[in-house]
Amino acid sequence: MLEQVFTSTKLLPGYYNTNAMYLRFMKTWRALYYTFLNAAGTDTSLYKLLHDASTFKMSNNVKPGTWILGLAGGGVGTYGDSSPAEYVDKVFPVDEFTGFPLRQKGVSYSGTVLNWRSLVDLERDYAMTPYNGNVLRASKLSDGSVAWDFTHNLGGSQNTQYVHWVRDGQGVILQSDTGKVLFFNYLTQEVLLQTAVDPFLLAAYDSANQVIVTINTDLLVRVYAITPLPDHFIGPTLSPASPYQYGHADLSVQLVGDQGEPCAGWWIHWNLTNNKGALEKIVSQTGEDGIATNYYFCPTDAGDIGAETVSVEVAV
Amino acid sequence: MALWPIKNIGPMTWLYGRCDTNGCPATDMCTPPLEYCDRFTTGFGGWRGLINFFYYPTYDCFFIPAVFDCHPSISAGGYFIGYLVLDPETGQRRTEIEQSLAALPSVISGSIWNFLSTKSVEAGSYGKVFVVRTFIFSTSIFEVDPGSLEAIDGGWSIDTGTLPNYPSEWVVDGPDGAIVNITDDYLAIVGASMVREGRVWKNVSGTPEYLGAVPVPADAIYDVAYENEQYFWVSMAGGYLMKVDYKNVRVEFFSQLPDVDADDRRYLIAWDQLRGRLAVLRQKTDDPTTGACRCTLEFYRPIGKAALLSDPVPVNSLRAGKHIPFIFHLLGTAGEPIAPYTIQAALDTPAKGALLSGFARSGVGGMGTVEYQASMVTGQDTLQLQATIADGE
Repeated sequence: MLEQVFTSTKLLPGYYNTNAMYLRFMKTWRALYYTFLNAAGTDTSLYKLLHDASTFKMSNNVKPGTWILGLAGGGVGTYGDSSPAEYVDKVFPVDEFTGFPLRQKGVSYSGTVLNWRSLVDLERDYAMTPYNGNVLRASKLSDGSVAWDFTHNLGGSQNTQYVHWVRDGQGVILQSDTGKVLFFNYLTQEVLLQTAVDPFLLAAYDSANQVIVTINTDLLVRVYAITPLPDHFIGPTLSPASPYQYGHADLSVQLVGDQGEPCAGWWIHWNLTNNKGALEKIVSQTGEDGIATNYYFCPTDAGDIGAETVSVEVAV
Repeated sequence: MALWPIKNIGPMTWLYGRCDTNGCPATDMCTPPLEYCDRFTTGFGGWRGLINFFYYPTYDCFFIPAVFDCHPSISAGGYFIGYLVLDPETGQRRTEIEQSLAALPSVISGSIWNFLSTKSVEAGSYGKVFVVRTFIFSTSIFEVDPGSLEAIDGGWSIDTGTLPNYPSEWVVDGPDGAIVNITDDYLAIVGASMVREGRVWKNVSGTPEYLGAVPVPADAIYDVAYENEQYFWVSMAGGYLMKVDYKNVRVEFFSQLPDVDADDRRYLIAWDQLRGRLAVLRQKTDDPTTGACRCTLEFYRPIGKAALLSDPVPVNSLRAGKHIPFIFHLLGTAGEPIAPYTIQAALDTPAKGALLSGFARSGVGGMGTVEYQASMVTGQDTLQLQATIADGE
């Protein structure tokens, strides 16, 4: 679970409607692109949304038939515009000032390779769309063919997953009902980090500040830093497991979150329960892999030979 | 406020007078010329009333071709056409110019259909004036005599039907405005109907080449204004204003007028080419009690003014000993970024942690960062941000 660092005190305008709300980070705005349908179902308003839940209404009416998706590079795109007819079946980046589609920059796509959960990399001709709960499918925009499938096994339904851009070649899948978060490399289809936030209605990755921003049905904005909170230790382990008198051994322990994600940068406090032998350090810091190391010196006095227990603690 | 105001003139009671006591003769609608009667028509379908506003550099004045209601005692339901000419400094009428154009009070030399079918009239390059007419009259955009709105013989014109990528929707409804730059042979046409775009062509006198489009994020477009050989402005529903770099086909600036309210009918805009400022004629409904004109003439610098400094939001783990950036945004009322701008930052005393600097600067998107160093012991600090916006800055 990632650390929640902010909850807004303001409420978002609008109302809870899962079918007509979109949230994307727009890098040129350094803010979020947020839309919702009014209660009458006639008007989809476009807002610039700040992290503190301040909003600016950019337009009363996002063009009917326009759907929102994410673009590599931190932009927002639209697709499926129904009028004028010459623009159907194209993906359009939106204008950096108005948030409206720049339709002269439309890129055609083939087939049903994308939807409002997709991340599109126009340069690499990829539309990355949740295919089912366990697979993300990248299709070629140009001809609709499958470029690759990425099996992540997040589970659940593809209709609960959104794909957002992180940095060049990297994306993140955000799953609304479980709050699962999966960072991945879409060039190599490798998992980089699996973690979680609280379940949400909408979420976006802020690629400028490296945080996840969510909106839930309470219409509050929450911000999560990409710092997994510790949940449990794996270990400590001793190598060799049974060192001899006068000997020594490597100690290590891994600190992980509830999704098994490594927790980096935390200070681990080491203790010997029976005071047999000695530790090199009483604290050491976890690395990027969540592992902290230490060194155990075996007893030199024959009277101290016996079982010893190493305990570790971390202040959360 | 989102644009920097320079001054605000109004209510412009001199825009029209009530002649209930003047007893206008029914035969020639209104005499004497400048004591004409009544008000702008409330219009129907947006064709009538006060619908155009442009700066005419030859006279250094704002021109308002308009359609007026006749006083009911003269001709119930009747209307007449004419010009109002306003001084760009005072907003007062320049009656000597109005008279020289023979524009008021009765039917001027031009056809009333010229007025009724004119969707847009704007000054372009070389101080020439161009109109866009509805399909009933013509699908062309052409140069006109600003005093009559009659086409000038041998003047510049184009049949929009020859333009590549000209939207079919505009053929039926007509676009809402056009900017003609004869100097560089550019044409920009703006229309809300279905398309909601401003489209740009170059080489329009030869073989027109479609350059692209900028989006117009509003249901209704009220007016466009030519600034120079690079930029024009668009006024939209909701008081939104957009500055467009038509040579590079990109939106340059997006903002909103202050104090937009339900009594506003339209925001007509003109670029004062001599003084380099945006003039906005805010057409409001008449005072419901007195019937007095409530229109105002407003002048703005074409730059944004800060309206909101957002609360600082941490973007790193809130832990003892951590270096924690807090982000903020400084924006105008339409969300336009205000940057670069210096923000003062301070911690309430006594503070446990420390700020790396007491100042921060808004940058891309109006966002800035305040750097905070948390103390090594657990505690709580309160961060205060402040932006000082001085009037007239």
